[in-house]
Amino acid sequence: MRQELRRGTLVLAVLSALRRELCGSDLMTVLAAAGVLIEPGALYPMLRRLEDQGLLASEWRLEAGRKRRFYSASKAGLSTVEVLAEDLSVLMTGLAILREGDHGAN
Amino acid sequence: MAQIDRYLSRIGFWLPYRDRASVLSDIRATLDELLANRAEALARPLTEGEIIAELRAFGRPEVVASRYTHAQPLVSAGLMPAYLRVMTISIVGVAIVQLLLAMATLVADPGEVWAPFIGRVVQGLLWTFSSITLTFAALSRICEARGAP
Repeated sequence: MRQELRRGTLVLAVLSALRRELCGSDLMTVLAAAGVLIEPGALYPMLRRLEDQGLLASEWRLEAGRKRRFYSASKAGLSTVEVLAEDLSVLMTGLAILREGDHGAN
Repeated sequence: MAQIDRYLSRIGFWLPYRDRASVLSDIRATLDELLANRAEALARPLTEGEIIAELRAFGRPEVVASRYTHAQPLVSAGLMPAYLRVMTISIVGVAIVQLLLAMATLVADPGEVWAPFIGRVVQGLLWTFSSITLTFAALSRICEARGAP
């Protein structure tokens, strides 16, 4: 169950982080700093999938003598972040009410 | 790097042909980047053992392949209850029909019942399983194309 919850929110976390352009290793660092731990073996396939879905774009560039791939959320990705964040916020509010037990049910 | 080539070859075995070249090229580039990052962090070239450890950390070849493919389940979750119900009814139906046929044969010719009976049951069950699964697999794809759950 925790995995399902995590899977759903990871996409939101990754797209949110990619509001600014980042290479894969920097993305992992940014996510880890925010408490979102993800292994490279899971992150890179997700990046490819999100790119296939048009939610992010990537570009290979030479930086400090090394080829690096930079990722950033596309326009569609940014709108998806907004929609998902709004959905999550509504869900969190509902969940808070339910956890307080003050939801009017007998 | 022989280790990377072997690792990619194992991943390639699990990938569908149409995506293989593109996915493997993507994974190779990713691994090159990861290994270069690691070597940069250590300020020295990686040893063979460290390369193998990095590849292990990236995941088992079959798991990596599954993460890079968008394989659809044979029967969608939405159709699974119907699939299981139809399958159960059909398998029980086939077994009952074959049992009745065996009993009829037993009455006509008591010496020649069990070998043909078992053969017919196995054949009937395999045919039932295959045809129902293929039908539901086709329905799953039709539903998905129409955007139904």
